[in-house]
Amino acid sequence: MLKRCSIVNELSGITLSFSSVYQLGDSQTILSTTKAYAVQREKEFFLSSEGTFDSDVFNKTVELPPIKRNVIVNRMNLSPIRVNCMKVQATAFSSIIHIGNTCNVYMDSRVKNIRQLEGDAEYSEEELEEIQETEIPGLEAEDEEPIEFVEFRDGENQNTIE
Amino acid sequence: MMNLQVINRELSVGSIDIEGVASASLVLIGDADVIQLASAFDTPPESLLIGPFVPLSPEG
Repeated sequence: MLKRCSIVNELSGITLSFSSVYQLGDSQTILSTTKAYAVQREKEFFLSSEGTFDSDVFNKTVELPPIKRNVIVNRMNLSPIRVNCMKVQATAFSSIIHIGNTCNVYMDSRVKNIRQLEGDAEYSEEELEEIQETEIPGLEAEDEEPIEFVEFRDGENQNTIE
Repeated sequence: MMNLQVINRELSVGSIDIEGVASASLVLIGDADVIQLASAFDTPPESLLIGPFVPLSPEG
């Protein structure tokens, strides 16, 4: 049901990524969640199969205050929402740019951050080669071919097929 | 029970310039009935690892 018009002259963005949305006009319910396992390393060394979302930060439910709807709200929308110019450089990780009215919004963000510094560790040339040659699962997979899931345990690769 | 009468007259935005919106955030121009936002950010003590680069275990 159309309740309120939104008139937007210009909305520009450079990046819209990871399930983000530009919503122009009314919406009823927004439910948006994101989980991020962020790993920063001093040197480039990343494997697609590292880490899991098992830890508490991802799985604990956040207790929300109860909604006491003992207020009856009556709205009269006499005039549309007008936006002349809106510039958003980047929108990411289930974020929403919303121009218009909405009813219920629930958004949840869980982030775990790991930083790994090199320290005094020195690598022999063999170790460096090993790091560089570590096989990344799925890299050479053809389109629509199932990808093998590789688990790392105690530095040993245990291959399991999903 | 309380009655709340809202009359939305003019809502006019000239110009907005935002660098970035991330991690389940909301930029709203308009009304909302209920907004519930939850966020958890974890940098545990063991999140700063110094030493040789090893792949993080699936339990990590």
